[in-house]
Amino acid sequence: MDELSQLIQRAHGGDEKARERLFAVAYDDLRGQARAQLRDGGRNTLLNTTVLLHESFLRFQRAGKLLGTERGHFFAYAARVMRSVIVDFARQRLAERRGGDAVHLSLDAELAENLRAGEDEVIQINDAIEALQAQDPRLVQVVEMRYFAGMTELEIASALGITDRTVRRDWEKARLLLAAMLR
Amino acid sequence: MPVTPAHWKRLSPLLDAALDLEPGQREVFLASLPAEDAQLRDELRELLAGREGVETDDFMNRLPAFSAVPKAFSLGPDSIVGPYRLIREIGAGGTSSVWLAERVDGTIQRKVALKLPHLGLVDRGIAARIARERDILASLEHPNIARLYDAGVDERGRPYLALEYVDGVPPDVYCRREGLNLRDCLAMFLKVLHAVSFAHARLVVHRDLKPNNILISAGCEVRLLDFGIARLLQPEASLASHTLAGAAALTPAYAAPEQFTGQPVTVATDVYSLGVILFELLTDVSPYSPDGRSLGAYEHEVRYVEPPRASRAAVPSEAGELKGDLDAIVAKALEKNPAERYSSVEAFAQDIERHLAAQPIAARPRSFAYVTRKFLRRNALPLALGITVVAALSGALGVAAIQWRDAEQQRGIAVDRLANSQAASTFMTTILMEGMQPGESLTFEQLIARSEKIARQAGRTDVRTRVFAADFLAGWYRANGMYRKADELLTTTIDSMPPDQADVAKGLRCMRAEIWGQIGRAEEGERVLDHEIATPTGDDAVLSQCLIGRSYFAAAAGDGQGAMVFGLRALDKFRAAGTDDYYTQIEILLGIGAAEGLNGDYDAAHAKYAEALEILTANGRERGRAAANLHDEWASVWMNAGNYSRALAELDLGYQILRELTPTAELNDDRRRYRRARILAQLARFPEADAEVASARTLSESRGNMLTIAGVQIAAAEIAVSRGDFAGALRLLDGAREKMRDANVPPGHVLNMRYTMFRAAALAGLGRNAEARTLFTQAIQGYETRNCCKPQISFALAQRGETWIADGDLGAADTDAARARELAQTSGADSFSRFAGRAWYVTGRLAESRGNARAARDAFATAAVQLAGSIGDAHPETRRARDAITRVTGRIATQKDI
Repeated sequence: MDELSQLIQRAHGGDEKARERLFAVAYDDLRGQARAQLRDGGRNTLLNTTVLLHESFLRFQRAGKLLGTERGHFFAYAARVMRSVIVDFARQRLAERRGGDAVHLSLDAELAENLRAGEDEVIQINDAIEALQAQDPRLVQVVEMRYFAGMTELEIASALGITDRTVRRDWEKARLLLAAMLR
Repeated sequence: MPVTPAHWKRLSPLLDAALDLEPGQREVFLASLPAEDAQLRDELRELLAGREGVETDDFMNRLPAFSAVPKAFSLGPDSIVGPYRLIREIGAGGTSSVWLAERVDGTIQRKVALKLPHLGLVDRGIAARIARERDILASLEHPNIARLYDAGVDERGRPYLALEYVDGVPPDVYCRREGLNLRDCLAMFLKVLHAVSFAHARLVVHRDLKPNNILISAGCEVRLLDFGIARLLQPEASLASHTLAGAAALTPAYAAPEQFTGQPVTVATDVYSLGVILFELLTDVSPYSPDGRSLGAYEHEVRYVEPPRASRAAVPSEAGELKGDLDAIVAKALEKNPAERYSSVEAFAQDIERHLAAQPIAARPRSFAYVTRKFLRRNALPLALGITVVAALSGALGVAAIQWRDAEQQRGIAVDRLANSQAASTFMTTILMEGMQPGESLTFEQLIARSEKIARQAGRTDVRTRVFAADFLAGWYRANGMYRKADELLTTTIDSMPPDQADVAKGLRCMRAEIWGQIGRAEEGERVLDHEIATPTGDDAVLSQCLIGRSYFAAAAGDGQGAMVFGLRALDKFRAAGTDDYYTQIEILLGIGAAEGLNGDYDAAHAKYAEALEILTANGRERGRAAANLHDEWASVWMNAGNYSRALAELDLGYQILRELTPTAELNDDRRRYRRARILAQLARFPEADAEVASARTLSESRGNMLTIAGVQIAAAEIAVSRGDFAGALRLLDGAREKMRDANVPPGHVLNMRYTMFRAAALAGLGRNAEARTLFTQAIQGYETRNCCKPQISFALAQRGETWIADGDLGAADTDAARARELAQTSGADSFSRFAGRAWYVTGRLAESRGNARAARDAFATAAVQLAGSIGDAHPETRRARDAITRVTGRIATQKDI
């Protein structure tokens, strides 16, 4: 934790490099944890993103207090990492299923179809918000934090420095738009 | 009708308004929308229709479950992996399992050891990496290296490595079991060293040497396993960043300090691991005894704790044999600093051979004198100054010394490695001490003059000392824009090189060719580089230097793809050379970054620059000359990306660093000045831009830097265009044409592209639309054939679009504007681009011409935001966009009134 504390100290001092490095460490940390969990999970793996996220945050918090905006950046960044891990995983799963046959035999057809739908949903939502990125980056951020990282509206509000009412509205709009796009 | 995010910016506020209403009132609201918003109304209706569904069916409320892990991933006897059938497991470790296996198709009868990395450790890049390195590893044919027969990824994405199956035991077990005496044991160890050395000569570093990877079979047959495979299995990300996190293979008990700290892995890393193995062979114990076996515990020991002498660690009855030579040999292999270890495994082996033959060895016992000497060498210059000279010299030399040390490191070609401490210290002694009287001070100019003397003393000075001086001086000249002097000096040095210094001469020739690019001999320089790259050399560091030079040439010609290819090859050779010369590594990173910038991948480019800066920072050189150069180059990436505020900040940081290094010297960098002039012009700071142009012009002319002279002239035209003096710009460009001819600027060179662009812009400004369009088209095609410079294409399209509007062809303008927007897309919420600004501006003008005031207002607003963020509030273009907003907003109000 030594390096981490130092980095946080330096980031407080306005050291951009330290801040970037901090994010690199956060990235490795989150990605490693998330992949381990996905890997070890058996059937119906449900990644507990909320817990992962907060555990990682706590590790950083213990090393040195993350100040207001750094805290917000951390969550926004972490949510993006989560999104990439989950989407990669979903893609990998789809590819494996296309190649492998063992699973299909052991599952009834309907269940297999349902499960597949989960991966498809993740990928479709990812593609849809990618298309939205240029138009409305904040909306994309809210989707990342809420859907991929499982953060609450209040957490998102405090991370992004907006009111929870705005987050609720953003989320509502995002769901409407994405539902329409995926229809 | 499918909803797309295309209209989201306009849709979003309307959706807000609708959601604020009671459900029953929404239809009324939709109906009240103006007729021109019919499409938006339909989309809104579509969105709102989904509302009930979204609220009841839990849409997106949580992540869906993923399907089960396919069972096929569990392995057992008779499982099939690629073309192999597993027979039985013969080993399992933290990173992989190893199976005895045979080919399914029976084409080859032999059994192999099939290594299967645990899937969790495998990233998606592995297939490409295996394909890339398989052939190199498979070509390592040596009686003491276990062969890699085959490697690949099966249809399920599982990587496999088919290795020669070896039946043997680790060396310590072997020595103990066979009761070998010390001599025989060392003879066996020598076989190991020779095998490693063989692989190093083929540019393969093992990275994970440990007893379990060295098997001795009956009859003392040595076989090394897993050569180069650690690297193969390392995740791509950690390869690039050198971070330990996520590294697949690391055995802490045998890992070198640099493997814990993420420094580059080199042949010295293998030397270290072999040192640990030898220590254990000699003493039966590990050199380290951490509390616990965790990575962290080992890291601390390995990085900070000095291992005991082997003779101390051994049982007393055997200590006598180890005292002296063997203690010294082991200690040298186990140095914490890679540069202090044996420079090669061969040197390590030679010392053991000399010991066995009772000759003096190279490693010295650690007496006080030895330790002092080592300390002196490690801190060569500052200490020399501190003890002997500084008392007599003024502060000027202190500054000079810092600058000198920096320049010396900056040029990282093989010369640097060749110019070993002997040459360096001769150079230093001569330059600093010879003829110095107590109380006398040495100015930087005198320092340079003395270096020149040494560099030119053909015949009288040791050739390496001379090369050392020439290399330092040429680097210094170049960094200060004195290309002709650098060229002349290098030519003299090259001409006087003895034939046995072919690699050094090659390095110098490549350095000179690179400089030619600046003095109107680009084509010739490029030919030389191509030739040097094509002719074989044993020195990968030199080759890497030539390749990076070639990459810069490609970049200068706007050939982003070429720059990328050469940059990556340079990186490859740099890694193969196994030096820890981070200055070259940085040059390569900058080259690749520049290429990525050219290819429009600015995020990737910024990442390269950040990485390079991180390396410098880690080495405490973030305020050195190389760092200054890095910030300069970074500035041009920001420029190309259209963010001039950031570009100026980077450029000025580079300048500030240079100033710290040389507070008094005149900074004669004409290129920096004209680059700064261009940025200032974009930021509408015209008087400052003019001043920079003037001084850049004087400097470049006085030195005959033809390329810069032409560049400065075009920059002057660019400034004229920015401030609206189009006729003046045309005159300047006419002059530039001549200067470009003098400089032999090749047709595809960026200067030519810039010339065309600004000429077109000037013509457009004068209302000569048709002529302007022809040139814009020419510029666009030029960039397109080079497959680069998306923002610049966008910029040309936007301006061509404006000429179409002026001529009333709105359809053509629409096409150009749409493409301009697409190509100018920015990467994130906080990144702004003047190119995006221009693209949205033409979009606004188009909407305005069509009488759609709302659409025009939205487009102008976007343009204003982009422009303000990239070229500032004060810029005429920003103001123009803001004025346009006011103008069309007035019209919206009027339309309402009607």
